[in-house]
Amino acid sequence: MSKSSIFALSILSSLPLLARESALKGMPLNVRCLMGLENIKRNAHGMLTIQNDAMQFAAGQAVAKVPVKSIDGIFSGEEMTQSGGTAGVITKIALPYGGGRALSLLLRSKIDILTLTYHDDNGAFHGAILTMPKGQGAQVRAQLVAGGAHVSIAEPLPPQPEKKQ
Amino acid sequence: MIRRSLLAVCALWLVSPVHAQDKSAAPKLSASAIRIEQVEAGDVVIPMEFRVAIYESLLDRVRQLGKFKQVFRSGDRQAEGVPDLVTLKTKIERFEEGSQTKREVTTVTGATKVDVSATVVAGDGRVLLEQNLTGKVRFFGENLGATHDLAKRIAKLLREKF
Repeated sequence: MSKSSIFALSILSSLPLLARESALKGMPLNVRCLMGLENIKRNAHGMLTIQNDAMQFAAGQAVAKVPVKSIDGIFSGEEMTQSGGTAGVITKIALPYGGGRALSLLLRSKIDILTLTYHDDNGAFHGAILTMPKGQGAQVRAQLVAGGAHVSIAEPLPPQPEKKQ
Repeated sequence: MIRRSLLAVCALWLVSPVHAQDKSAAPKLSASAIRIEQVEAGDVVIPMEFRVAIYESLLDRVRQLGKFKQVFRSGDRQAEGVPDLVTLKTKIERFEEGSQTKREVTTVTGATKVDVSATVVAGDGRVLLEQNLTGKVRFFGENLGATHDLAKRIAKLLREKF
């Protein structure tokens, strides 16, 4: 086997690893930004990625970038919330004979809440609250920490009894 | 006849200069810039998302008010040297986390409440304004809705006093 073919084989064999690495780094996650990111409206749904040392949230044309190194606090939590959105709320109100109340019991879903605190170039304090499907909060948190986000000693929060919502 | 005269007296009292003077008696505070400090929790156990939500909601509400030319975030170095700057400090006094499902099912239980003391301090440290306020969500809406309600009340207070 020639040297060039060995080189080509080694490159080809490392491609899946490279692809996996980029998939982890650039994982686009569908999250909801409750508030706190510049130029992003409240409760905006969008894609979250972590690339080039920056956390990026894109909701349509609006894009917010936060340098990972400027993040100095990541607080994770979980909550039981009502799914179904506006349509769900309207249906609950419209259903007769207390049907809406029964529907409230059925339309529950657990979500992860990630609260990030960071300082901008002027030293101003910012806080952003993101919600995502259950289980993804820990993944995002781990990636931010791996990317250089500073986490206070008090983190991670001790396991709490399940929050009622 | 008596009713008519009573109404006329009431109307006269409302438009009288004495009454008008009473309304405008309290002098309004003035400041061109405000800095909103981070929410202090003290000994109260409150999830971080609530503290951040109060802070960010306050920033939005105070900007919408239009009473101040500049609204600075906590720690913003641009605020240093601004002559006419006041600082809004918020401290959590009590927090009661409810349940959205309970609220929607029972309508009478599961309210989320957050009590704070809001203080406005002048550049020289004088306390210009201090008041306790409560934010709550009673029926529909997520628990964080209590923070929006609270920010609305604090903004209303600032609108009345400035």
